[in-house]
Amino acid sequence: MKPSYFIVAACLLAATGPAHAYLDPTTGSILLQGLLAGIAGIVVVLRLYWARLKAFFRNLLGKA
Amino acid sequence: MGAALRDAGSFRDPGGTVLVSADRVFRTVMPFAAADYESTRRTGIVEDLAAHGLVVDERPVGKEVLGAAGERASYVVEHPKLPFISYPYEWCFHALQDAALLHLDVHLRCLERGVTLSDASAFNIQFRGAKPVFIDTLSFRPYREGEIWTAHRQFCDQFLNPLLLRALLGIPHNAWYRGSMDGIPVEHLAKALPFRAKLSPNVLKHVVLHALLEKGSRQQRPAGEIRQVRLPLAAFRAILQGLRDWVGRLAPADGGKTVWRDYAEVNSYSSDEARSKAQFVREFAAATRPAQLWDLGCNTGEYSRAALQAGARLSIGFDFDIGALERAYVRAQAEGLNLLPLHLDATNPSPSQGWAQHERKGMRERAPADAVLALAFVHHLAVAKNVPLDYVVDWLVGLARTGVIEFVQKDDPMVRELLRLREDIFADYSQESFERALIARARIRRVAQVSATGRKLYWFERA
Repeated sequence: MKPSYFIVAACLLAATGPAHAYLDPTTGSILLQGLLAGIAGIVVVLRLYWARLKAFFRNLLGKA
Repeated sequence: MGAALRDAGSFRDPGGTVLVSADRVFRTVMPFAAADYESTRRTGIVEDLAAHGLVVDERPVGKEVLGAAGERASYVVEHPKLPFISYPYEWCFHALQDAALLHLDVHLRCLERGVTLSDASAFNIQFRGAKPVFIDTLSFRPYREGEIWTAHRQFCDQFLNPLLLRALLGIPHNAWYRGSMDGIPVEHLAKALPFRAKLSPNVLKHVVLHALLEKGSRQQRPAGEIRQVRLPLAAFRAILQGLRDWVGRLAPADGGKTVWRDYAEVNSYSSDEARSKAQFVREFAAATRPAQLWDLGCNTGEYSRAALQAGARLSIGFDFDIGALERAYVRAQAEGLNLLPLHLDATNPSPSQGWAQHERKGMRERAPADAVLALAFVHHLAVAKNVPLDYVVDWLVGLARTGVIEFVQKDDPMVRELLRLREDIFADYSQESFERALIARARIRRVAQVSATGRKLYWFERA
């Protein structure tokens, strides 16, 4: 992933977190909200799955 | 005032607890939550929502009211005491739907004032008659721009998924929800959905994709970055509004939408029998004026209505038939009746459960009622469910000091129908046995025959 993407992502990120939420929001829910929120969220998810995506394409191209 | 004791269901939030005395309800606001309390109350949102009947009234009181229990609190507030507590797994589909819509409406209104809700538990909604009201006033806190919706998962588990179970699969949520008290997990619902149901964009987002991301993140921990996901306010409101629109459109897959149409048809007393039963119930209610009546086998609520019109203050209707419950709920809303219909399998009533089996009160813990109605009910237990007549009478008479029980003879078409494909092993099921069992436990104040087939209403009174 190009460094410029990281810069864009970083600009859109802000450290936020609820103060006294006794609830466990779960990762899946947070990721979903990120996706629904748009580009910034998509970037985070892509980063998360980047290693797997790379491996997938490597396999694909390796076999070809 | 007797001592106010902490409610067994109020312990998860260190911000404060609910304390209950015989006739009053208080909530402490601990120092931990005091700042949020102050800033949200300054916006006036809680007062406004209460004025519109969406949120329960809240009145600050002096801490000394609670004595030692209030010492460490920053504030103490009082709420009006609700006469009956019910749970989402007892509600019919439309009641759960109205509760979900109320939650979303409250949250959307909060965001307009820079306030948000910290959770989305369906147990934070209670019913006054057939009207839902939001009761967790500690859930309000200041909104911080960009924060994610922490309670999204809880909203899905406790409101959305149970509704979808019925709307997409035609499966009533009650049994599953009762067992899985924190709601129906999105991964389980996703597994249960047929392919076609997954194609709608809303289902794709909030169920399929949600489940996939949950599963995927378990296999690969995303580390600290996850805390940095931002949800801008506009997107947050869009999600809430989208859910609100979607939930508002949901209807039971098995044709529950016809409930509204059928309502008009079952509106009037269709026979002499129904009229004389209603008359008996009216006279009973006028004489006993129960504050809380339990109507077992309430069906579509017509006898509850008779009781409410004649002097009963609140009726809790219980029935096993989901369709009948929904009709009763619709009737209660359409006619402004103070009636809350709840799902009940009398051979397996709601148990006391949750933490220490005390967090959610079973049916028995919420008894006694002031009066009980059991019309066209006894034979379902004694014949259809093989419960000895003695046990049935014992249970009914134990629910309230006074009430009306209908006895239906064995040769009545209703009972004959139950025995159509079965051997008649009910030698003990007879009017004599019933009367003997009743007299052993209470005084019979009045008896009346209400049908040509010999159905009788018994008005009993315990000492």
